[in-house]
Amino acid sequence: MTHELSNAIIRTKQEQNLIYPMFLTFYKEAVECGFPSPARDFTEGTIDLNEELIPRPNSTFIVRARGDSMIGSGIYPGDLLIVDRSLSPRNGSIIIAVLDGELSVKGLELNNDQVTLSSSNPNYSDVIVSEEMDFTIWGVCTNVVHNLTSS
Amino acid sequence: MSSKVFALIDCNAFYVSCERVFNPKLNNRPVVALSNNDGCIISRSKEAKALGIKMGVPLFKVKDIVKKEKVIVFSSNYTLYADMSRRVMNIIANFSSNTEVYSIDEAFIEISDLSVDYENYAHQLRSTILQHTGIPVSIGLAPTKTLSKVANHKAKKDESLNGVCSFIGKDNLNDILEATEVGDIWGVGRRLSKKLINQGVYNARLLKDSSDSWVRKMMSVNGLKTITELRGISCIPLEESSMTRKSCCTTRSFGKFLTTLEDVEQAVTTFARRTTERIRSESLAASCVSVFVRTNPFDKKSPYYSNGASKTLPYPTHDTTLIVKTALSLTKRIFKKNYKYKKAGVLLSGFCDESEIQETLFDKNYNHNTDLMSALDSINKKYGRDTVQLASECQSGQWRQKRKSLTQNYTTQIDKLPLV
Repeated sequence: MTHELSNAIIRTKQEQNLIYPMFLTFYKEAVECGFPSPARDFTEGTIDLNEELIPRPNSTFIVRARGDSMIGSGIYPGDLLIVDRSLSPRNGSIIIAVLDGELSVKGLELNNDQVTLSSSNPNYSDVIVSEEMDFTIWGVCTNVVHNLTSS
Repeated sequence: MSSKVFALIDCNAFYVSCERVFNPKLNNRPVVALSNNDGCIISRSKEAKALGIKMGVPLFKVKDIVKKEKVIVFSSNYTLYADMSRRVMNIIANFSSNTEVYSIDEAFIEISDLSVDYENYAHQLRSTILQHTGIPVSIGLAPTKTLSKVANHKAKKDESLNGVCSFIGKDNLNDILEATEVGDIWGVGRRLSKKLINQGVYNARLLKDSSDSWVRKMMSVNGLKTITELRGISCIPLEESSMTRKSCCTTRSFGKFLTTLEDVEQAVTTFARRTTERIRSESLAASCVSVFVRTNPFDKKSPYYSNGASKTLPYPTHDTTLIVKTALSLTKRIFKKNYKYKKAGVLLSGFCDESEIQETLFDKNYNHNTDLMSALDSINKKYGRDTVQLASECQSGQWRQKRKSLTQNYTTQIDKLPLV
């Protein structure tokens, strides 16, 4: 099953298309080759990754990560991030921050009154948000789609 | 009589706001978006308005201000705007089931039956849309649609209102109506407003207090509706179900002049195909095809020519190949050599439901290619519009529009996503 799922992600990506759902039929029983499947009567509907990953499509946007500052959180350059603007950010959320007009992906650390934007790569330093900074939260990241076949 | 409650939700500088969601650097700076073919300014940020840039003005007329004040200029990215509009309209529909989508960036809702604090409700709707999509909106609340437009106008102008202006429970709107120019009233066009001003009726209060018989003489039945609504009595209901369209049209200015029949035919083919795709998506079939072409009326140096032609089909159809064939034969009829063509259009009309398409017994050329068409639509839906085209469109794209400062389709194309 895992194998089938990752395949689906890759194929979808190759087709340059994440907008239209790709339906996979999920068979509970193993399928025999060569003659009509005895499992045919046991199909259980389809898996729609849009439904799984994007439960609130009106407020969900997909962005692409660049740079390696969030590698420790499993976000690699070129990965797709699913961002839901309707969620309230919490301590520990991975967020899309607007810092001085730039969109960037950061970890959110809330400590009393202090807001820190953290990276998850020791080569990058954290940003402590001060009053004078132009900072807003654009949205909360919910999932990352990473292609396992790209080098 | 129980009075009604309407709200008009209008996105602030919608096209500019869409661009700002994905490019926050544009916040607090003067930004404008241009019409098709980069002609006129059709969306202005607050900062651009403050510089005196007027709505609808051609870009070349304000190019000095644009340069001096570093105004940021965008071509219209309708793919992006349509996607953002869909999100905003869906959120509105989640708030109220009585919704009329009035345009790409405006919707009326009727909330008479809700037992809520209307103003509070409107603020909630406004902040939800802003958080979920990044698009700021203004909301006008009033007992009629016409007054909700006036309230919306005030909500936009008066920043202390935080985007919501309510006329609900206000008995006396005379001051506000006095401050509303007659041309700003919903349903009063430019021509009519000139006529009214000539008669001394220059603001909404004067119009409201005019006699019914005078208004009927000046403005016909619709005018009576307008003044009744200005008096606070609702008589224009919400149009919830989209009325069956009477016609569907694609017209565009070309990026540069076209002079040969082949080039014009190419453009017409694309327009005809797109229009047909649109009616198919609404399960309609057309029984009449019209085509028009014209040169640039503002070009005083070249001779002006404008012509159109229509043909009624023997049977309603939504087959692209048939409609394109008809459109091309019409184009041949109206095309004249030695003119510089600037614009063309294809209009389909005489609609019926696709279920009424008759399969013809005798005319072999008249098969509607239903399977081919649905295959075409699903490919173009999956891989992007214009992926599969007719050979007659070629791809030289001589006619394609000027869109010099186009942003990317941030929300609808996987290779154009915003980078973080």
